[in-house]
Amino acid sequence: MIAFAQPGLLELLGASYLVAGGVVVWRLGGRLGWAGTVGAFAAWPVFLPLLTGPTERPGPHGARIHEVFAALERTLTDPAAEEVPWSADLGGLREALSRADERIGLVDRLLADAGPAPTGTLRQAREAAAGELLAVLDEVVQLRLQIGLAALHGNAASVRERLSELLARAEAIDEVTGLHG
Amino acid sequence: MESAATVADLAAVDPPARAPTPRTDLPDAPTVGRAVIGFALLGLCAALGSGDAAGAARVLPSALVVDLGALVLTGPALLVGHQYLGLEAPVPALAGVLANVFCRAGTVALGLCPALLFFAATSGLASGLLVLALLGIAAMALSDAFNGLRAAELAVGEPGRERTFRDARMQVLVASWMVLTALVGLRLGFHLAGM
Amino acid sequence: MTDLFSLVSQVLKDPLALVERHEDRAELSRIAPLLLGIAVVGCGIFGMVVGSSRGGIQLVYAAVKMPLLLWIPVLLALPAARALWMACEVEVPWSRVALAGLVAMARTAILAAAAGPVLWLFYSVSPGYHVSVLALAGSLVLVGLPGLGVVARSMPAGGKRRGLAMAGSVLVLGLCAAQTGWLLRPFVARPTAEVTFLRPVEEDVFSSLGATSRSAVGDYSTEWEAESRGLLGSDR
Repeated sequence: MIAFAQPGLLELLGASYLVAGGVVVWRLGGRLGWAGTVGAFAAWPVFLPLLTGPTERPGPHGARIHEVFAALERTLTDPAAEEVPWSADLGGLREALSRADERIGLVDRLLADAGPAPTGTLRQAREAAAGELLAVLDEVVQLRLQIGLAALHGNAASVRERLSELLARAEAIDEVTGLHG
Repeated sequence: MESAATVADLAAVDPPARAPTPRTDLPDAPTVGRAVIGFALLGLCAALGSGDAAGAARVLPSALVVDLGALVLTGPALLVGHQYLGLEAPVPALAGVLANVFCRAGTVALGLCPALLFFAATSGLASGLLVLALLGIAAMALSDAFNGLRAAELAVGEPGRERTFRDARMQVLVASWMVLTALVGLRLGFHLAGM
Repeated sequence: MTDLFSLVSQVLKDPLALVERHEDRAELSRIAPLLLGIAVVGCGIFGMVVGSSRGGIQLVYAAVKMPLLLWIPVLLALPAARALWMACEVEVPWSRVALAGLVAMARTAILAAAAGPVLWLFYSVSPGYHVSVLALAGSLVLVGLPGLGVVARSMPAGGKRRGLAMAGSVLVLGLCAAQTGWLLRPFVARPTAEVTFLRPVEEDVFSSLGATSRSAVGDYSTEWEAESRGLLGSDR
């Protein structure tokens, strides 16, 4: 015989959990098959990301952007680089590059869906944007060297200028991909 | 100009990690609101498991009062001491560091709510775990504040003996402020616990 | 079915790549039910093995409860883990946390199912109740560690004090897992006790461990009387 210990509050909590699951399933609509629907009832917190905002698809250079900026951030916070008083918007630069990369990803998917249809102009724009994005990323890598120099010689102004210049370039790519994408 | 190999090599070798440059801009209202809600909910979760109304009434505001109270009561002393010692970091930057530290701590508190609610529902451990959580959050926040405030001071001026001297004074000031904040927080906590 | 076997293989061989590839939300909606299914089936098999120590209806009870033993701590600890990582300046999207948790659960469940025959063999020689419980706890720790590793390694690079975030996450998960195990007991039923699906909500896992430790060294000076605790306990 099954002996349930707490009939009152426990059942209320269980029912609330399943009601929340029902709301998640309802909000997801027909996006899930039967297995997904059962899963969302039982484990709805896992499916919450599907409800918030549009689908995020990282661009083709997402991993590279992450790697380069993680390395740069570590350099800037290294004790040896402590003497470099930088105040440029590193987060803004990274965000601008990520946005541009997302749009390049979108263009890639459009090109893949288009099949043999003529896509010359879009393809050229994509190549140009991707080339510029990679060039800016290379510059960010070089910036680490410049930080080393600034730590040795105290030429911090050049680091700030370089970061500002890169931010402008990244925003320019973002604008261009925005127009074409 | 450096060769490509040199650049690649340098990019591949990661220097030892250290505290990143702190955020000194003031957080937006939703972020502050989330932190306040985090502390309030943490207290509520523990209060639900306290068993009696009098205990619940004491536990309910404890997380918010201890953390926010300690910060509000001692923050001005830090700013005044900073100006009195002739240190140079802009006051808004210091206030920004403190506000960001509070917001991060509140985010952790919010994240701990489901676990604490679980213990409140299934055991008598909620109050003890609340104390443990608050101690952990406070230790993390104070350590964050130390690094952040010091970095904010170092961000001003050019390298040299004068800045090194300022850094030393800042470290003494922030360490004293940390002790004061910890003591004020403990006193508030003991008061709420009826001790 | 081929998809499922291929997924099981990926969960075991390269779980990190699985997290990286399927972080995208559309992919998450496709893969999440499969991972949940793997976790439920794997844990169910392990639960049946644990229930075999007593046999009868306990086989079913333990098989039904075992997936919850994995799911409830993950559900409770993931928000805390994400908050701790974010406090250490590692921005983790919820989709990544959820997927890492799911992959970790699936990995643990598969390993638990694979370890089932070993545990069954052990239980077949009728070890004592306390030894059986210890064997269960040890097995869960052993199969849970590789899952925990998946969550730890799934977090993005960068940030500061990553060790602290990891230690905090493990602490919260460990506390929740221990209390969940206590709440969902019995898995290994006492030979003389009546078989029940759940026992009343009383005391907590730590006071029980303390009493057991004292009993184990022959200290019966303090009588341990289990009393109802918590909201659910007082609701009786």
